[in-house]
Amino acid sequence: MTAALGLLQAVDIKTPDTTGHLTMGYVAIGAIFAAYLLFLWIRVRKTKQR
Amino acid sequence: MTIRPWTLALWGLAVALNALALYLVFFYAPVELQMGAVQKVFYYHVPSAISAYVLLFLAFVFSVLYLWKEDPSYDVLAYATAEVGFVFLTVVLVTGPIWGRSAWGKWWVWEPRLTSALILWLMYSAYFLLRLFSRHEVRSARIAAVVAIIAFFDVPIVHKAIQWWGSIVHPKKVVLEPAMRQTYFVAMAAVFVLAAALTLTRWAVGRAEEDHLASQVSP
Repeated sequence: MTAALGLLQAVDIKTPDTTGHLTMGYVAIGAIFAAYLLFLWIRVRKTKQR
Repeated sequence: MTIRPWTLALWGLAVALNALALYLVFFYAPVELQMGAVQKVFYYHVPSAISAYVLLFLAFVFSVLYLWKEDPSYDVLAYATAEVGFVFLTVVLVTGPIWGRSAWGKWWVWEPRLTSALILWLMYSAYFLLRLFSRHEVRSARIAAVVAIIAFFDVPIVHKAIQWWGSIVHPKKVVLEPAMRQTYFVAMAAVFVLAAALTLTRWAVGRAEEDHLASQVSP
């Protein structure tokens, strides 16, 4: 939790305004779904390789 | 792995609806006067929370059915719905603090809704750790089902936290002007269709893994 808040604080320096936080929010949403789709794709590949 | 045609159609609809929702969020919905542009995080934050509630409820139902009927197909469904629900819960817990930093000046406040939502996320983290480190054993599936059932009881607590204990950051009621309401409904439809497409895809992955294991066990 402390590490996560520290990371957010570091990012916050570069995005101090409300538009910056909006961009950060939607980039985060995109990154989460992209990461999950990648995770699913790796699982499918692993199942096929076994 | 077989992805059915209507799952692909649902993915097409999810992409189209999300493109429309994002257009409305950034170019149509007005900027809220008090919080500024960051309020637009709301359009995905709230539907993601509703999707997480629904998916975690389904995980609860399938876990009960698995313990009752002992049919592995319910376990596959419980795992799939819990996993996609967890992804949406993560979206809520990531976008909330980003919104909060702009709106309240703080990333995190230890108030009832945020704290109970974090506890929910930690309980499902335990569920996935259990599944990842002891996969494909009947006993671990049973324990995971019990964890999913217990964890679900936190969902109504998260939802009702504001009414029960109040909140210094979450409003009890949100009033939206027409353009905001239209954007919200399109975003909600987009997120729900995305949740359905992800769940069906994840279910197909789960079935493929089960089939693969069954083919290894049988001669």
